[in-house]
Amino acid sequence: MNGWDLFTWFNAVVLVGATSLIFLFFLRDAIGIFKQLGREKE
Amino acid sequence: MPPNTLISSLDIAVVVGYLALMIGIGIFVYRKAPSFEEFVVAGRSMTTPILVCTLASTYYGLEDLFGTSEFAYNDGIVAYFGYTLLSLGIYVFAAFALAKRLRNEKFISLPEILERYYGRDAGILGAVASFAYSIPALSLFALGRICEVTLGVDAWKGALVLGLVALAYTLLGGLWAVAITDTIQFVLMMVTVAIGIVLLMGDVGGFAAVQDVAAEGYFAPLGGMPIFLLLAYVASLISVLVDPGFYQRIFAARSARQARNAIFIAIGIWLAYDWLVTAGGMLAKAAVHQGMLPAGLHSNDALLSGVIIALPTGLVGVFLAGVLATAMSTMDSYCLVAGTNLAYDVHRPLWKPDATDDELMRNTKVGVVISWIAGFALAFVFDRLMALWVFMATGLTSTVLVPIMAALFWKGRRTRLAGTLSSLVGLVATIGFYLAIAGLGVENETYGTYIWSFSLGGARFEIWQEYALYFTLPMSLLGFLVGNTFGGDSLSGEKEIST
Repeated sequence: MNGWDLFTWFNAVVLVGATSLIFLFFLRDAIGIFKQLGREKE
Repeated sequence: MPPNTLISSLDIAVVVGYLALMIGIGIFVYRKAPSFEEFVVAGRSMTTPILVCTLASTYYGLEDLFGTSEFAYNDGIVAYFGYTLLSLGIYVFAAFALAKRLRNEKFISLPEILERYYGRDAGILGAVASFAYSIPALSLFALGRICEVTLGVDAWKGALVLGLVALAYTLLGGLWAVAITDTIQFVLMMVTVAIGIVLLMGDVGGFAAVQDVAAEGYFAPLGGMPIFLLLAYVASLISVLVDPGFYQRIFAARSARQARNAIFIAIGIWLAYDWLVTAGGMLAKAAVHQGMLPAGLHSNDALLSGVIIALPTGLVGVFLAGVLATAMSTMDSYCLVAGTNLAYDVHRPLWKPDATDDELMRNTKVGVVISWIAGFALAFVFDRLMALWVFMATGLTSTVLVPIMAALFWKGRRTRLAGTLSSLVGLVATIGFYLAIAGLGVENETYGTYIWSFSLGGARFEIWQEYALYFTLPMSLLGFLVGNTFGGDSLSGEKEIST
């Protein structure tokens, strides 16, 4: 495995890790916002 | 081997499931979103994670996925070190300089900045340029092309069906639906590209296999790229600073800090994603040499074909959904921008200044449909779409960059006439420049553009249509200075218009 292979692995791990984290935070925020939206509409 | 022969019914089922999910999200949000401001700027309540997802997926369309990988397939790592790093530098500037000013002034759309600072005429000129730029012709065409290559259906039929799905959820739920579907699309794009490229790397034997077959300069960071070409790239990337979809996301942020943080995180994501796309193009080169991909492979299909042979059944469907998502997430966002331009920035100031919330919402939806129809018609009638898009981007930048930057950062006098003249001169200069080069020059088939060659003082010069901004931006600045010298009244930029 050469340096470019490692760089590719590093970016793939960063991308999957960051995407998963952001998605979890997205779920937390979106649920809160939609509960609030629902209340405003009522 | 064409990609569609490697796609199983399980993969098709995954794609159909993805499309059903998109419609479901539209219906879900439709029942929640209560007002025009909710529809267009999501009630200004988007937090950093939501903004990251919608920013990352909107700005990465198929032109990046296929354009960057094609560039890498042909020229190597210059695609990353020469192009990506330059373009992301512009976003760093945008995060520092624009986020705070744009978010704190509570704008609804990009042309509204011109309307508030320079009056109705400048706002309408900006709206016309923004609408033309946002017509989703290129992404609808790309959707069709993907359907043709991967699923074997006619391009226009694929674009019609998938484009209508994106239109439906955009009409139902506005920016909230766009942002939530963007998030699903973001996850699909990032995860499948990461897995697919790593598997492809394993299949071909890593970058050592690429080095064995690579031409000289393939691993040189700037790949012998001439400085004038780098400068031309920088000029084309300036349009990021006035991109109406980018502005819309900053307006929708809960705070300026959340907008700035989201841009920085998105830049980190793009850095990783762009490398993987570059690697995909380069690894496909080795796959062709090893006979895993056909020798006559079109460089534009390198990434798509490479990843499809690397992924197992089922994940191919997820990847295809991710690729379709890439085009849909760009298309839905710009349809919404174009609809807002027609309803809020043209119809309201000209004919209905006291439009109610319901009227604005209804008119925006009509505008979204008009932009979609215009995009579909252009996509399958006009055969030089990329050139058309470059023209639209040049027109928008020339029309709005100078007056908007002056509105946001110039502390001195800014007259109504300065804004109107700057926008008008920029727009007319763009059209004039393109017509002049098309008339004086000759068409270059290789680059798909017009080039005017002439001699002056014994030296030979070439002017490409792509050099337009070097001419139109100074003209727009001149218009601004003349208007500021002779113009009378100025506006404060405070919100004076009804919403």
